[in-house]
Amino acid sequence: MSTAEQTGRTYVRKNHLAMTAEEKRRFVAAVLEIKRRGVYDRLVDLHIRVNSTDYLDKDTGKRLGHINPGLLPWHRQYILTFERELRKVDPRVTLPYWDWTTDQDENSPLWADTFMGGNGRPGDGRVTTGPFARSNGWRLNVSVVPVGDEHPSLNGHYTQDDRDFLVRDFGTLAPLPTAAELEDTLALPVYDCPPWSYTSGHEPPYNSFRNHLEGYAKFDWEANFGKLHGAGHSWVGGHMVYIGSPNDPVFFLHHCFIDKIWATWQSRHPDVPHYLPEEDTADVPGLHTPLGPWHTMTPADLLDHTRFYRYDA
Amino acid sequence: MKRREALIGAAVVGTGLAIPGIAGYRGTGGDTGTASGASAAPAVHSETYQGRAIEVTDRAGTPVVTIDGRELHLMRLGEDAYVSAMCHYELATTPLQAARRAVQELRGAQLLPLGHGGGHSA
Repeated sequence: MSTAEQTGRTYVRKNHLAMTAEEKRRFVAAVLEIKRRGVYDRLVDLHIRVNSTDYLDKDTGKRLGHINPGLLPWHRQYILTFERELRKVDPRVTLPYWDWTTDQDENSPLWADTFMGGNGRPGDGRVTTGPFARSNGWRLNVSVVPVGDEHPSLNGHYTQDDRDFLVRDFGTLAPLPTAAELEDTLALPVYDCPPWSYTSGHEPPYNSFRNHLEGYAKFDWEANFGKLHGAGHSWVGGHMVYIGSPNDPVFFLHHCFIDKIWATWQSRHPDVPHYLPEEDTADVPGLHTPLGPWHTMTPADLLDHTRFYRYDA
Repeated sequence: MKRREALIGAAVVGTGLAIPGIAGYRGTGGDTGTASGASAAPAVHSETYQGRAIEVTDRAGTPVVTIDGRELHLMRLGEDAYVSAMCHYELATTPLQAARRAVQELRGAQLLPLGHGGGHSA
């Protein structure tokens, strides 16, 4: 089914710092093309819909993508879906990652006018530079238009506010994580633990790699919640902290690094279960639960990323 | 009266939490028990925050937040844990704290109306 499976070879995902100018140009062009085709906005909408079941008490469905063990396999499939759409446009494109433990400068090539564009301007936070500035044609269509007249908890059409331009506000809400902070979480030997939620692993021995990476747990020696995954969202600020966070393309570079961290953790801990719980529960997916909305792969299918792609380091 | 005072107390706590250490809302909040208890009560709290009208009401046991009369999409994870559509990667300890954070994030923009609003059936 996948390109990798069809061709029997996998492609490489790089740190964006290792990309050539031509590779960056192709990546941006492919993002703009799937935006033009409406594919990008459907992916934003998909993330919002999954959020609506993940964060609200609903009669049907489990939490799939957030505040539960499914965070890592679900986002692996989600960003793989995004990457495959890019590769339909240009088969040479792969998804790069942003290693925020070392790449913390506002003047990083990440934020260049030819790549992600820069910070929002003072005041309203509007991004005015680069390909994702409103004035350069990047218009937000999802979560800025009400759909239907039901409460969004019933139809998943989460609207937000009336801004159709991308907002960023670097560094106001949280600092970027350090390599040492990431190391502490990578050292945790247990993937996740009951109640498989935002409270998992709060106490020693901190048995939730997933929740510490997601950022809803912290060690006793850490000051704040919201680290690692959460801090990446918060440091960028603006749309990256809203329900429609994939409206900012840097979302995918951030989650690509989260995905790489899961792979690194697996290699550090080869003899422990790389996903828990093994059994399905009422609230969260088990190892063999097909993940919605696709229902094509289970966490077990997604454990080994080398089926699909490899990382450059 | 007592509940009203508790809510106002929560507002003060919320102010302190909402400004610098956004990510630290739960770690630094010493008074969350009062705040969450108040949020579950059938009470109304109104205030003007950064020029925006915040209202916290109770709809059949579910806290409802409006900003300038428009409902904020508020999701309750637990007793003292809320996220909103405007602040989705950090937990607020009270609906009021979530409302104030949303005002900060809106930067003057308007929430979108929810159609007829109503029927937020659990």
